[in-house]
Formats: sequence, C-alpha cells, structure tokens
Amino acid sequence: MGAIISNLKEIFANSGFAQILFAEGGYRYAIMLLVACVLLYLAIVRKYEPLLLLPIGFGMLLANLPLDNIIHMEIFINETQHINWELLGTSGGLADYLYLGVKLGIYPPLIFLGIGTMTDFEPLIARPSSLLLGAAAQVGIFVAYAGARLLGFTPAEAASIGIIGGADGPTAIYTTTRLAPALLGSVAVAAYCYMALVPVIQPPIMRLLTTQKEREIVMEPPRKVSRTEKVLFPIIVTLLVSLMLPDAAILVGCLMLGNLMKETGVVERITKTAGNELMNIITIFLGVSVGCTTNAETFLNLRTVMVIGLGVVAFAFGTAGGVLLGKVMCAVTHGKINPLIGSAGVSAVPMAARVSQKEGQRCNPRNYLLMHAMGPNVAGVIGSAVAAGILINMCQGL
Amino acid sequence: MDLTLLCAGGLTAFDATLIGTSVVLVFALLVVLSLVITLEGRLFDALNRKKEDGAPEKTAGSAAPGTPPAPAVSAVSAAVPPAGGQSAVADEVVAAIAAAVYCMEGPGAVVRSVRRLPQSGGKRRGAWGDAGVEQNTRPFVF
Repeated sequence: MGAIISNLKEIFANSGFAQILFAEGGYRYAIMLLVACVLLYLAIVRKYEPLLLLPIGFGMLLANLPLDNIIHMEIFINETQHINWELLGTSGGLADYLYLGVKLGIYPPLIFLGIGTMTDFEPLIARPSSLLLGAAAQVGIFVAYAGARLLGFTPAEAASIGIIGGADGPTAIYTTTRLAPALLGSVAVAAYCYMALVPVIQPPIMRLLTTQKEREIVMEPPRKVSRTEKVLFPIIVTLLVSLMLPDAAILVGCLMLGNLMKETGVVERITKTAGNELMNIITIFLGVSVGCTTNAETFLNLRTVMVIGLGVVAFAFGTAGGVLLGKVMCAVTHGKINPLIGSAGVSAVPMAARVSQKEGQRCNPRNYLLMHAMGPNVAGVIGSAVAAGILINMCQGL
Repeated sequence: MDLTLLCAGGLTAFDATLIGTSVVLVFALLVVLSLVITLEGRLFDALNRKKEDGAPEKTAGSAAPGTPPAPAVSAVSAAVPPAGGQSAVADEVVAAIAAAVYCMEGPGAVVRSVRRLPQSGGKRRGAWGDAGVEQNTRPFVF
C-alpha cells in the first residue's frame, strides 16, 4: 500500500499540476493557459478569424502544458541563427517538424498561392489609382516601426512589429520569421486579433477624418475589364515587383501565380486544390506551429504588451493614411472618389472593404461601395508584400 | 550605418533613412504599376472600340440572310407560358436568368425558352445534387 502511495506521489510530483502549483514561476503557465482559452473563446464564440485563431490558441494551450516538451525552440532560435539539424533529428517531434515550414518560409507563400486563387483583381485593374490607396495604407507599418524603435526594439524587431500594420497574416509571419523569430508568437497573435477587430478599430477613424458630404459620395461604376487584362495583370505585377525587390518575389510571385491559375481557367483542378485542400492543410500546420511558439518565457513579458500596443497604432495609422489619401483623390477628381474606400487599403481582405461599404451605407443607404473598396483592399495585399520586401532587404541582420 | 541619435529613446538617422526610403519605394513602385495598368487598359479599350466599329459593318451585311439577334427579354417573354399555370416560371426568375445569360454571353445571346423540368419521383438528390455527383465522379484526364 505504501509503495502504491509512494508511486502516486512520484507521478504527481512529475506532473504538470505540480509544476503549475508548486514550482517557481509555475503560475505563468496558468496565465498562458488562460490566454489560450481567451483566444479559443474569441475564435469559437465571437468568430474572430477562427481559421487561424483556433489552431493558434490550441497550439498555445499545448505549448504551455508544463513538461510536455511539445516544441523545442532551441532548435530554431540559438546563437548561430541556423537550424540545429542534429538536435532536430534526435529530439524533434511533430510540432518541431511542422515549425520547419514556418522557419524556412514555406507556409506563407503557399497561403498566398491559395489567396491568389480566391482574389479578384478586376476592381483594381478597372481603377488602377486604387494602388495608391493601397500604398497610403501601409504608412501604419512605418509609424509602428518608429514607435517600436522609440521603445528600444532593434531595427529588425521594429520591422517585424511594424509589418502588423500591413494587416496581412502570411506577410507578417514571413517577415518576422526572417527578421525576429523570437517575436513570432506575439506578432502573429497581435496581427490576427487586430485583423478580426478591423470593424471596431476603423469606423471611428473613418468618421473622424471625413465629412458627411464626403461619405455620401456615390462613385461611378468602373469600366469593364477583359479576360486578357486579367491574365496579363499577375504576370506584369510579378515581373515589376520581383525585379525591383527580389526579397518580395516569393510572396508576390505565389499570390500572382494563384491568381493567374484562376484567371486563365485552364487549370481548374489545381486551382481548386490550391484554394481549398492545400490552403486548409497549410493553415492547420501554420496555426498550430505558430501557437506552439507562444510559451510563457517568450510571451509573458513587457515586450509582448508593447507589441500588442504598437499593433493597434499600426492599424490606426494605416486606416488614417488610406482615408487621408482618399480625401486628396476626392479633391483632385472633384468629388468622384469616396474617401471611405481609402481605409480598405489596410489589406484585411474582405473585411476592410465591408467596413467601407457599411460606413458608406450609414450615410447613404443606396451607396454600394463594396466593389469600389475591393480595389484598394487587394492593392493593400500587394503593398504590404512590397513593404515587407523592403524591410527584409534593409533590416536583415540588424 | 549611421547610428547618430536623432532624439532620446533610440530613433536614429538610419531609421529616418529607412522610413523615407521605404515610403518612397512603396509609392514609386505602385505608381509605376498603376501607370502600366492604366496604359494597358487604354490599349485594350482602343482595341475593343476598333472591334466594335468593325462588327456592325459585318452584321449589317449578314442581317438579311441570317437571323438577327433579338433583345433577350422580348424573346423570353414570347416563349414563357403565361403566369398562373402550374409549370409557369415567375417573371423575376426569368429576368434573373436573362440577366445572367446577358452577363455571360453578351448582347448577342437570345433566351428563347425557360421552363421548369418535371421532378421524377425516384430521384432523391435533385438537380444540384446530381450536378455535385457528376462533378465529383468525373474521371481524371491529364
């Protein structure tokens, strides 16, 4: 009997419960498990970006179960900044091998491939000036970069934090993996949470920066776009952007490949695979592996709070930048452009375009801005990929 | 790399350079892209206008022997059975189908008849279900 009790005591002493309740710093695991449950609540009940927040939240939960050794970050983040292949071979598990796709920059371009098959660039091709609105909305990235530098982050870390303002999950993950992998968990959580909160963050800024008369502007229907133009567009964009910024080539190239596959209509089967099965698989792998990086040591600190605070700054200034350029374009075109579509340059597709539509309809119920706002919305995806390429080019190693 | 502090807190000349360069480059690249797409659009608009100018000459020549395309709506209204019958299709449905055909095929298409297919007693799936089965069981062709 005594032996049984002794065995039970030993098992309990080696359990996660003992680590949380009795070990030094064990309370931090409990806090992280609570944070994971909050993310799961947001994903399941409030339906905030559930496709990513649910696997990220559950990955966070798994990573913060004491002593489970789900993931070994020392394989990926060490003094040499290279993957420790020997350690991966001897002690790597499922989460470690899944994380390879993040570390090697495989998952984000494949997600962009799927996004390309689901994106319609026709509103952008019909009104190319939307690209300027997409560019203006990237201002938030650089404002957040400056804020991060003022708070003491290195240039590479500040660039990873700033890219949250691009409102593009794969771009943020790709950039952070290349520049500041230690911040990946907090950047990913901040990026996806704020993307889901776009309908909350943007409207007050849009109302503050526009007048009632501007919000009521009804825009003319865009011109018809031929199939040939839609097929040429991805090729032109890939050539132009990749020749100028090779670091952005893989992201922009995969986005445009997916779109080309869709627009040609001659590879329907693989287009469906890229947009459905492949994207779903990569989303699961990416979400779980990113979530597994958010352990208590890396997540529960003041830097994470600063990252989350700077994220909302990035979104706010991105929205403001797009709306302000929209006002300028409205003035230049003598009232033909509704400035509300400028906020859609924040590339949370299609949420930001829907916010423009909703705000326009509040002032004029017959105003249908959705397709007009889709132009800047998809332009923002290109703009954020371009900004990421520039930041990777200039900040790598700093 | 110039790390001269511009202000207390860590913002340096390098940061100002990075931000300036990045903003200029993002805008410049997207401005060039928008100009290229605008030019491409104008080129295709000009080509399409030339095609449309050439097309009426050809159709005027072949109008007498061939059947000229009639407006889709009037052709449909003549073919649809009168409303009120058990197999009649609602006017709104006819309008929606005609609009969809116009969008897909252009002004030359004519919808001559819209009729409801009889539902056979043994089928469980219905038309949509049959379409789904047919798509998923289509054989691979490389």
